[in-house]
This record gives sequence, C-alpha cells and structure tokens, in this order.
Amino acid sequence: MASNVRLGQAETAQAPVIVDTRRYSTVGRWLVAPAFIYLLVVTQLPFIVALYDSTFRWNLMRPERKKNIGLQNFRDLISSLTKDSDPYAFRAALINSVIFTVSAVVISLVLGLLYAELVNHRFPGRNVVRTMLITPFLVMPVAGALGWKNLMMDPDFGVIDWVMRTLHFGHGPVWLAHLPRQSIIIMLVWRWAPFMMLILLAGMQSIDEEVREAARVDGATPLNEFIGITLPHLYRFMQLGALLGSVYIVQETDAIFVTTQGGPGTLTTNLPYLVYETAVRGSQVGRGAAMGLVVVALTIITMTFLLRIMDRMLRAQYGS
Amino acid sequence: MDRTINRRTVLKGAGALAAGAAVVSPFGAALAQDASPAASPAASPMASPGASPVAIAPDPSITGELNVAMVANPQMVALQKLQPQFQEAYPNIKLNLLVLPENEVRDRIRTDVSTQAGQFDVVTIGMFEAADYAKQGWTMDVGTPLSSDPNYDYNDIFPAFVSALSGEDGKLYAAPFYGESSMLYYRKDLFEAAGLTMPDKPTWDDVGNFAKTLHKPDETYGIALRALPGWGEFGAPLTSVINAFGGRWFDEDWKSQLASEESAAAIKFYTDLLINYGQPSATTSGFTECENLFVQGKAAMWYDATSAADLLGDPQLNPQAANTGFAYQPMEKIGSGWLWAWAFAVEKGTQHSDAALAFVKWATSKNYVQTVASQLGWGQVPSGVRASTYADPGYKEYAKGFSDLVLSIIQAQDPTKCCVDPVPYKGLQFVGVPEFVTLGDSVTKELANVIAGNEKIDDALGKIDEMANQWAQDNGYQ
Repeated sequence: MASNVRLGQAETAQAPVIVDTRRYSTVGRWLVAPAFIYLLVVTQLPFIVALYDSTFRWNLMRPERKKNIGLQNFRDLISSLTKDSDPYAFRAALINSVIFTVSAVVISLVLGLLYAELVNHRFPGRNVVRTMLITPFLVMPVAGALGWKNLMMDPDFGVIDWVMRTLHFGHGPVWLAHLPRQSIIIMLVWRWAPFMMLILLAGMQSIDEEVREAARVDGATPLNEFIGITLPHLYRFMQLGALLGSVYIVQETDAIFVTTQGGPGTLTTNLPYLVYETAVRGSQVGRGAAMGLVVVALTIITMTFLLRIMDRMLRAQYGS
Repeated sequence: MDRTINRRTVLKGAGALAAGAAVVSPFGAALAQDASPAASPAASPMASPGASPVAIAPDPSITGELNVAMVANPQMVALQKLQPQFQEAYPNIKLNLLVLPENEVRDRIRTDVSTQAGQFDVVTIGMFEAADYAKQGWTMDVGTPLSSDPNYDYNDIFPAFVSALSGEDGKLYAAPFYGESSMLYYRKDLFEAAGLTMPDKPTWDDVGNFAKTLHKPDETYGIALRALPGWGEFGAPLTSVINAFGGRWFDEDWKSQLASEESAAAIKFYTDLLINYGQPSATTSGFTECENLFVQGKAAMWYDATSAADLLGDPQLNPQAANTGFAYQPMEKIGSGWLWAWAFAVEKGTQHSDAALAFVKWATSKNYVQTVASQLGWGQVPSGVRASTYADPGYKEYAKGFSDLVLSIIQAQDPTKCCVDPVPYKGLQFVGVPEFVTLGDSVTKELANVIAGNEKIDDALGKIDEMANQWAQDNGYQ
C-alpha cells in the first residue's frame, strides 16, 4: 500500500474476491514441494556453507592450518578497501566492476538503440543485416574473446593494427597492454549491444504505426519522429535493458580470463574474477567465501534498487 | 505488499547466486589458456624406425576400474591414443581417461586430492605439489614398487626429477612422465647477417646486447619473452632470471628478497629488455604466443622451455627450422635454472592401488617410450626424463639439432639449489610451496603493468616486496 502512495496513485477500492484457500493449500504445498526443495538444496545450502566457510582461515593445500578466525576475513577485506596499498586487490576489483558494468551497459544501450533504429526500417538485405548484428551475442564468449585477442587486437597479427598500418597511420596502441580496461569494455559492448538491440527492437515494433503516420502527416521529419515518438516509448525498454544488462555484465569473466588474466596490474580484475583467483586458483576457501558474501551484499543492494525501478515501471504501464 | 515479496525473493535469489559463486568457480569450463610452464607444442608425427618395444605378456591377474585425470598436453593425448596397448597388457583393468585443458583439470585435481574425495585414482601433478601432497599423506609412495621392477629401469630417470618429486622421507611420490628445462632459441640467419655469434653458453648481458642489435620493430623483435600474468607463465622465466642474477624470492626466514639489489637488478633487466627490444604484445604473451612469434619469424631470440625444441626443429611445423639455433640457457652469476615435469601420482584413497601402479608403471616405463616411437613417431615421445631416450639412435636422429644440448641442460639442473644464497624452498623457476600460486599471480600482474608502461618499476618493486611479505605472513611462514 505504501508503494501505491509512493507511486503517487490514489488507492482504488476493489471488491474482495473470496477464495477458500484451505481447500487448495495442502495439495498446493505438495505440488510446489519438489521445486522448493530443489531450490533449497541448490541455493540455500551453499549459501549457509559459504557463511560457515567465511569464518575460517582455510587454504585447501594446508589443512593443518585450518582455523576459525571469526570475522577476520571480512576485516581483511575492509582493510583492503581502506588501506592505501589494497593488499587483497579488493578495492581495485570493486572499482573495475563498477567501471566495466556502467560503461558497458551505457555504450551497449546507445549502440543497441542505433542498431535497432537501423533494422526497424525496411531496406534491401535487412534480414541479413539483422542476423549479422545479433551474431556477436550468439558466439561463445570464450571464442569471441580469443578472436578479439588474437585476430583483432594483437599488435603483430591483429586486423586493427594491420588496417592502421595499411592506411599509413603507423602502429596503433597495444590494446591489451596500454588500454586494458578500454579493450575489455570494447569486447563487452561487442557482445552485449546486440542484446540491447533485441530488447529495444521489440519496443520499437510495439509502437502503433498509426501514431507514426499521424506524426508524418503533421509534417514530422524522421529525426522529429525518432526523438518525439520512438525515444519516449522506448524509455521503459531501456530501463529493462539496463537492468538485465547490468545483472549479466557484472558477472562477465570470460573476456578477462582469456585476454589479460586480470592484468596488467589489477586494471582488469573485476569482482567475480578476484573470487575465482582467490577461491579456485589460490585454494583459499575462507577468504573466497568472504569475498563472495560481500559481493552478495553489494549485489542485493544494487538489485533491490534496480528492481524497484522495474517494479515502478511495470506498475506505471499496467496499473497496480 | 508486492514490494515486500519482491524484496524477499531478491534477497534469497541474489544471496544464493553469489554464494554459489563463492564456492564454485564463477565460470564453468576452463580454457586451453596455459597456466604452467609445461605446455608443449604439438609434436610432429615423424615416424622413424626405432627399436621396437618389448612385448609385455598380458597380465589378467590385476583387476579394477581406474579413473585417471590428465592435463591435455600432446604427450598425454598420445597416451590416450595408445590406450588399446594398455588394455592388451592388462585386459581386466577398466581404464577411464579424463583429459582436460590444464586450468580446468588442475583445479579439479587439486580439489580432489586435497579433500580426498576419491574421484580419481591416478592424477598428473607438477613439481611443487609432489612433496607437499606426500607430507599431507594424500599420495602413495610409487618409488618403492617401481624401483623393484628391473624392466622399469628406475635408475634411468634423471636424478633431478627423482629428487624434486620425492617427499621429505626420500621416497618418490610421483613418477615423472615427461620433463623440461629451458634454453635459448635464436635465428642463425639474422645473427649471421648482423655479424654476431652466439656463444655456447651465453650470458644475459650477451642476450641484451644481441637483442639491441637485432631489434627492428617493423620486421623482427630482438627477443620474445613471456609476460602474461600467472605464476607459471611470466613467473617461470622471470624467476629463472632472478636466480641467475644472484637474487631470490625469499631468504631463509621467509623475508621477501624481491627488492634486494640482485633481484631488483634482474627484474629491471627483464622488464627493460621487453620494453625496449621485446614484442609489444608481451603482457598477453605466454608460451604459445611467444612460440607463434618465433615461428612466424617475428622474433630473433626466444628464451623458454626446452619442450618447444621438438616443434622448432621440425621443418614442417616451423618455416624457420633450418635457421633455428639452439643455445644453452643464459647465465649471469649462475645459470638460469629451470626444471619441470608432469608426473603421475596415485591417490592414497584409491580402491585399486595395484591397477593404479600398473598404469603408472606402464606409462612411465622405458618400454612406453619405445611404444610411442613405433606407433606414433619420435616427435610424440614423452622426452626429458629418461637418459635412455637421449641414447636411442632413433631419437638422436630425429632430434639431432638439440638432443645433446637438452640432455646436458637437464642433467645440470638441481632443484634444491636454485639460487646463490640459501632459500627455504625447493624449485628453480618457482617457489616450491603450494600457496605460491596466489603470490606468483599477483606479482606477475604487477610487473606486467610495468611492461605495459602504466607503472614505474621502482613503485612496482616496492609493491611486490610488500605483497610477498604479506603473503608470507598470511600463510604462516613469517
């Protein structure tokens, strides 16, 4: 109810529909039980185990040193956030995660919008172009990243450098060394812009053709039409794209793993990659679990915030 | 009300999602991207008529089902092809081979062994794990049964490997399958054109001067060296250079020595060499990338594992083969030591130790080398661990450009003496304790940043020194 007030809508009284819930409850519970138990086993048990593990100093390689250290792992992470030297690279990873996610989402949205506007018009070969635009999203992430590293960005054998040399611009930058963050963002955008295009295209196609026609009759130029009709209509779809995009992009590790291994320095280490480095490569189960939990807390805060936006947007469209 | 439900669902869902990620790897399949110095090139199938293997009489008395996890290097893939031969010799052993890319299988093996989960009976492990696993009681003594079989010819194995793979009790806990050290590859034609001569035993100063002369960025780079972050990628050649310059990672009290005069000089030398005369893609170059550069004629020199020699010497795989020269690993104060082997260990918890031992014996025996040579050619033989391989006329003919050199290099390695000054660990191109992975990874990341030009070497030296001390404290060494 509070939400209704928040949304600035008057509460409308509705006739209560009376259903005898008791009749359904027992059967219903049994019917959802398998799904519920499955969910419990695959999500909640690991969560509890992670909570427990996070209180240990525990390197799998050194079982004799396993020791309960209370909240020391969390204190270490906080010290990594506050200390200048950032000994566990946690602050660097947090910053990188924000940089990668925000910039990849924003650029993908803008590019996706342009793609969608392009293929929303009829022109010869439109189907081919549409398929080609979607393709990066369908390429296996690892294969895509390997292609970027070896075929595109390599200073000796890469296409980008070859084009620059052929056009007499001289050698280009060594992408993955001099511009590592930008390179990762380029790979992420390449992969996620098509995804945004799909969402925005769906939005564009839901615009009533009559509205467009009316605008054209009134003398609107294509630019007027895009700014005055398409964009406002797409607003909600862009919100949806931003939400889903950030959920997916925040956990991207393939490109990083394949191209830079988180380096040079810590310039491309994001949070999931740091958790992998700590827990899997470094066998430090306790600290890895603690990192995972902090990431969870941060994700929850961000997700709640973003979901509220989506919630509001759906309510605004369909009423409450 | 909807909001409440929403939030609760989100809380649970998100919590569980990320908690899952904390326990398991955040991404499923690992990749063929290499993480150890032992990746080998695809060997060529150049069959030459060698001595044919001794036929083993089938032994049906040993039974059981064996799960073997192996790194997917070419030598292991060759073993996979020869599985029928094993089945002929041991018809009642059911052999399941799991061959996966290195990063994936390493993580799985490490988890399986350390938790004693019993998923595998036999696993491939590397040099720095053997002694430690033995100490934890996770693996079985394989040396005693192997050395008691005269056909196995235990003393044929190079002593350096036996020493490196033995536990503190002196028993062998993993049988070496194939091994490698390091050497310097160079282009004879470019050296000749520039009027340079490669000494038999070059120093790093020589290498630096050669690189300077031969560096022509539009045609060939002076030298190709690894700088892809990772303890087993960049970490391996870097550590061997640090040791050669008289430096070390730690002193006997596990105080970091990375910023000591000698270590700092070595690290500066390595990074400067790459910045000034190396390949521009250094920070993404591991073994494979460097090998590519050299094979494509883009590098005048390359310092790396001896296992690349098989490929570089083969005209079908390397267009520069005729011009490829092989030289001793460069020295400075001492030699740049390097020793690595993939070895088979038997997990303590196995239900079929007889079958497991039979497999290990079969795969690491002298006879197996002959089997590979006759079935697949000398190029696919697991080399580097047995003196008899280097005495075999078939292999000598196949590897005439480098086999004597490789032999003399490997024989000179002593994994207990890496450095001028004493150190509290074993291992030449790595610090031989299992926790080194994290330290090696983060130090090489930091130094890659120097090579990329984003950080000053002096700042980086301070940082890695602090990292090493922090690591030693965290892991209870200091």
